[in-house]
Amino acid sequence: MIEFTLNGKPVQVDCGPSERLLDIIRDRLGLTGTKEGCGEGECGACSVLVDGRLANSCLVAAGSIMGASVLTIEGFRDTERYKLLERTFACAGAVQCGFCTPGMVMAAEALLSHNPRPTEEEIREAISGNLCRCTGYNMIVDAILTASMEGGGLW
Amino acid sequence: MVNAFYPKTLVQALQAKSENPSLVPYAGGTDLMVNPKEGAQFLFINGIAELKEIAAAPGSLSIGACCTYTGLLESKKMPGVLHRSIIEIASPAIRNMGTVGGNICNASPAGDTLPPLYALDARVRLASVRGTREIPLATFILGVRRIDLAPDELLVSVILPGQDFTQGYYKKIGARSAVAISKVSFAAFKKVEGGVVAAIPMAFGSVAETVVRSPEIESALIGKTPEEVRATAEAVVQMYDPLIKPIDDQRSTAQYRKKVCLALLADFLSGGG
Repeated sequence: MIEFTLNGKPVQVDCGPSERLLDIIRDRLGLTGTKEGCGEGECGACSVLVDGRLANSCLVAAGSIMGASVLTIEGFRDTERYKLLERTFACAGAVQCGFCTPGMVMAAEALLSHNPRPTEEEIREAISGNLCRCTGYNMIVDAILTASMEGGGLW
Repeated sequence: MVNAFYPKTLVQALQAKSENPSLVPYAGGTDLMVNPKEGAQFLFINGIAELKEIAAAPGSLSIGACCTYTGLLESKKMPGVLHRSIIEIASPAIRNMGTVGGNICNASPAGDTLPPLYALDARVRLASVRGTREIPLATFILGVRRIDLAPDELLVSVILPGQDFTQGYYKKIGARSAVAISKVSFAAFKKVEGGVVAAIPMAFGSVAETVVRSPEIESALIGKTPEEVRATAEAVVQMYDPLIKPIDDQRSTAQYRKKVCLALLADFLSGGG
């Protein structure tokens, strides 16, 4: 039995200790906002926050997060920070097919929560582990930059 | 069937490893989870606080095996030259989870921390219920995915002798600047004292079974002025040429690897970085 906090609520999952966090989130708990792309930590589609830090949930074994706090896009969705990012992503045209978007938003949150006023370079570094095959990244960078400028006090 | 262990202390972890040597230590998971071995039983050492400590002592720095790259980057105790190497590794998400000990024990020819650690003369401390030993990293790594670790032992820390290098150089070449497994990597440091080179360790990754370093060639450069080193760059590149024996694989070709790593060497010797 693996016990951890998911989106602010304690959960207990009856699974093997080597099961991937990604599979627990999607298949056992039905939260499908977190996507699986490469399954090897290269694409960032499965990004979540573990104890406030960005992590690829495809590379996290259930047993390694005993007692940890995990935030997925579903848990982040109800926050003011999310609402601002949703608006700036939409305005900048940062969403096309949308597959990378939950991971990009979690990477943005991971960045802004540690560095509320990042430079463009710092934003590019922060999303360097997240692949997007549609936008060419510039619109995503613009969206995060705009959120950081408009988000006074949110982060 | 007990299928995982969650030790809280190093003593508990060593006890578990002693009683059940087939346990697979789980530090950051970033390599282990890519190709998980069927039926592997994990020893989750990622929660052991004493394995995450970074301790500076006079003349040396001890880095706990379970320190993540992010933990190292955030530590004030890290030498600047190493900081600049680690920031090149992987991506923020991988750096949050991946550990120095994991990168060493994985013993991949492309391990990104290995060239800087070899160049800095790192040593590794290994522990078991039988006791502790400390050996050079360069002898701990035996070959591709082979390490000198007894079945009941764990890597507990990496020891860096304190050296005040004046120049640090680290480049990894991959298909993409983030995440990609290196085609070639190169780390080098230089210490200039009284106008002449006092130390100039150079280490190449991904071009042989393990990291390539030549104390003989390095010692030939000691005592020269930086200008003299620059002037002999081409001759030094020729000396390394026979030591660089890369292979063709899905990431790159032997020819490309050799050409690029010797170009990085030439760039370092002529003062680049």
